[in-house]
Amino acid sequence: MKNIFVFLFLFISPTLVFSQQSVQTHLRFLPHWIPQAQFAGFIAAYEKGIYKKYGLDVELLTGGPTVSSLDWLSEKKTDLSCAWLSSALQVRDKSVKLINICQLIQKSALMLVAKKGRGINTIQNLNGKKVALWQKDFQIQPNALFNKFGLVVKPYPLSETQNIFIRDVVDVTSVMLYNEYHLLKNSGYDDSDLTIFRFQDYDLNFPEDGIYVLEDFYKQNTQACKNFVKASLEGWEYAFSHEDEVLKMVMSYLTKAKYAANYMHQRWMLRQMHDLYQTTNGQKIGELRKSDFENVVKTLKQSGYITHDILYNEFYRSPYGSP
Amino acid sequence: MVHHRNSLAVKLVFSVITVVGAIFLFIFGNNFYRSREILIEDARSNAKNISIATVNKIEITLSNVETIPYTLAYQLEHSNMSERELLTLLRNVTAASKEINGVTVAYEPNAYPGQKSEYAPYVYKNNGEIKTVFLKSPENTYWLKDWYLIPKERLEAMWSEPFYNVDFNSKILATFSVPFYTIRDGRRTCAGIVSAEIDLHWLEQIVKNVKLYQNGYAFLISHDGTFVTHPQKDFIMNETIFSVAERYNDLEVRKLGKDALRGNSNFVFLKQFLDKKNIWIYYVPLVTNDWSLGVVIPDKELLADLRSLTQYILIYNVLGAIFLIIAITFLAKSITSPLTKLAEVTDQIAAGNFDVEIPKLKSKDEVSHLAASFNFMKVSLRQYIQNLMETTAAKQKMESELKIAHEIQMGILPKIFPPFPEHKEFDIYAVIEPAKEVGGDFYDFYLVDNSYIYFSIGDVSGKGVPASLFMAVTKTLIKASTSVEIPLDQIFSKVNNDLCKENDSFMFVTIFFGRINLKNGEVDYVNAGHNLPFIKTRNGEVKTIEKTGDIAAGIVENYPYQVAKTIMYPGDTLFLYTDGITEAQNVANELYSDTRLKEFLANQKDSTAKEIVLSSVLQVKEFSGEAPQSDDITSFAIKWSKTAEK
Repeated sequence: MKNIFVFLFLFISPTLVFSQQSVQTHLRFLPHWIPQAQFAGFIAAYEKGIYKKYGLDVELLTGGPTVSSLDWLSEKKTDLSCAWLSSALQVRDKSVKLINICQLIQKSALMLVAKKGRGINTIQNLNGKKVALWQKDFQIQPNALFNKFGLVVKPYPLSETQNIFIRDVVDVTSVMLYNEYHLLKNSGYDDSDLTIFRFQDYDLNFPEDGIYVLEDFYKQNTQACKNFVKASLEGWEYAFSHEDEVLKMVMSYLTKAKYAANYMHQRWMLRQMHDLYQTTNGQKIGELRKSDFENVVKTLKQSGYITHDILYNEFYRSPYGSP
Repeated sequence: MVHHRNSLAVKLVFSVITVVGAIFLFIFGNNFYRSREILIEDARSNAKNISIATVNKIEITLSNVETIPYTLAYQLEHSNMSERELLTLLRNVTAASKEINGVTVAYEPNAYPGQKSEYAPYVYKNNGEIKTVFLKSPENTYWLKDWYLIPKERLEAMWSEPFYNVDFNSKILATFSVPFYTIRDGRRTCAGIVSAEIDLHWLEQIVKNVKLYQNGYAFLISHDGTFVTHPQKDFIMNETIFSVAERYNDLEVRKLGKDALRGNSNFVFLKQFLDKKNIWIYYVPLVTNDWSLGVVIPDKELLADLRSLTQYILIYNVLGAIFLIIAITFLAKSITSPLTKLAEVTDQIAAGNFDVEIPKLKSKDEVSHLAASFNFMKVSLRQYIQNLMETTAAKQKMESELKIAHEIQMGILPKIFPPFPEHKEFDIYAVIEPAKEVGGDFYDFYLVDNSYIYFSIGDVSGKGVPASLFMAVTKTLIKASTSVEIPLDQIFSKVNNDLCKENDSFMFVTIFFGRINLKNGEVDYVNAGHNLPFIKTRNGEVKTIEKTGDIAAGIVENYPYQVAKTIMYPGDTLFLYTDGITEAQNVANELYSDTRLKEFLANQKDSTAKEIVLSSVLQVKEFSGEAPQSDDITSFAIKWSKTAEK
């Protein structure tokens, strides 16, 4: 009997070591914005060796305002990208065969914020007001909202800062809940100074951050892609449960990329991400709800952002198996 | 010895230190409070002056910078420069200005005359060289940038928020942007923005130079609260006053930030600022760009001088208190040590040793005066006690003699009862309860011829030995003069005459003298001013006998005393007494009186003479209670039963 165990040990152990160390699939991943707590889970998975554990040699590319994660994906400058659902659908509509393999943010973090001091308390009060909007996909939901309520607003371009709002050029501005909203608070605005409009309250919930890959790449590297999603979700779990440790990593990423690094702000962001990732109806984290998907497709089609029908099953691969 | 806790020194030290300490604490506390107010006011004006000076310094530079874009904007509006002329001008201006880092002239899209849809030359210094680039979208969509968009929309010049110039170098920059205008369709419309850019490095230097106290420092926050300068480097551009407030959960700091950014100025105290020290902070706005300068003074340093002064004062006061304690103790000792000695000497004197020396004191104060008086007292006391001892010895001698006299006096009275055991026809009993002093009461009885019992009871005026002697003489005279053949009045007259002779001291005696015929109960008697006896009959009645109205014996020679008669029946008791009974007083100064005596006798049923006598004395004593007995009490009873005939 003893000899059998010795034999089994000699046979199994080298193969285990082999499988862990040698098959390291190289993957490039591009977040769609600067390295901040919005991507804390990816940073944690990378820094804590979770990707390595899943046999992945991940290269975290640095995103930012001048880098379009979906363009890079189309141009194969990256293997996987993080992007908004609405942006990805528009790219898919232009025949770039990308697919969603994980939906992270379930609720729109994009929202409109108005100064109460300017007499804005209800959605109707927005009529005729100066509204600062970011470019492109950040305008889809606000415009759909204005159409829905028949509001005519004066749009202003919004840059990376909220100074246009702070300096009273506009009455209403666009913010991400996890980012600019907190920056406004840290510029001296109290909650009581502001009226908030969240899109999910007006049936315009657009799931945001998700992980995208080209369909061909996915077919060739299915297991690696699935492992990437699993490892990333594990990274997120780690980030949520090791807030301080991961925030310090995020701070060093920000400093390295020469962005303002504010611990309290990043903490706010990470905590908001935790809320935004939560699913309903018994879904698991990372799953894309079919009804959300269809709502976004419908809105995009109505507003003319896309022209083709896009099918849920073709567009989405659940990280937990077939959808 | 004197218990230590109660010693004069301890009491003095305690009360002086308490009072002086209270006064000191009041003055000290008041002084500390006032000094603190003054120091805070000084710090406030210091902080204010230094803040205003710093703000002025900054604003002069900012104003210098402002003139460049203003001038350029004016030129752009009023002259038609070629592109070449414009670029040359920009290069010259940039090179000429010490303060500015670069200049941009940014046209509205499609506003630049000619072919270009975007035109925004940016001329800047780079390592001493003047470089020119053209801002272009999408890398630099300048018309969406704050420095461009906000002044364009507000149609007014503006200082931007500080920003990192990531594209070219990593300096912290700020721009001053001025819109310039053109006439389009007859209307003055914004044609673009001229902006000058400055490196904020010099600002940091100015603010860093603000030194207040040891570790006081200054910082600058921008229009949205971002730290532009701060001794803590990682605050700069990363934190706002509000994020710091959030991190340290300090609502006071948030409040201060909001007030500062509203353009207000104030001097406030913040507890546990950034989780550490208590500080004072003065903040003042920079009017030019709506920023705010804060000057921080650690509370500890502000009050450092006061604290060290306070410590010195406390040390001096503790030393002073110690000195005071020593001085008081010394003083108290100088008073108490002679007193202690005096006390010891007094104890010895009290113990009877009058030979001790009273300590002689050198000082001439109250204590030495006391010692002298003490010495005088000792001498007087010794003398007095000596006198007293002599007097006492004499008195004791006299008392013992008196006692002997008293014993002799009592010794001559018949004291064996029953005196005639063979005579059952009468029963006789008498007792004298003497007062403290030797008195003059007496009684006597004797049998003559077996048929008569002679009896007498008397009370000599006055007390003491003369009374006692007079009583002995009287008793002896009466007995000696008695004879059955001689009538009672004659016997008594002889006794009276004998008493009157050589009675130089004018003493007198009341006497009731009589005899009972034992055969028939006839009683004849002479009464010389004595209390009349009572007869308690066999039926229980109490009878008085007839008065004779005669005076006491020893006063008038040859006084005609008369004999009176009464009769006793078998079973009757003759009760004789002196005024020691009837005039006995109780504490309320009431007399026992004849009435009470009669009541007493009436209550005696078939009592023997002895029973009547003893209970009469007992009752008088009970009546008197605590009141002292002032006179002899004599009680004397004779009960006749006529059994002799049988």
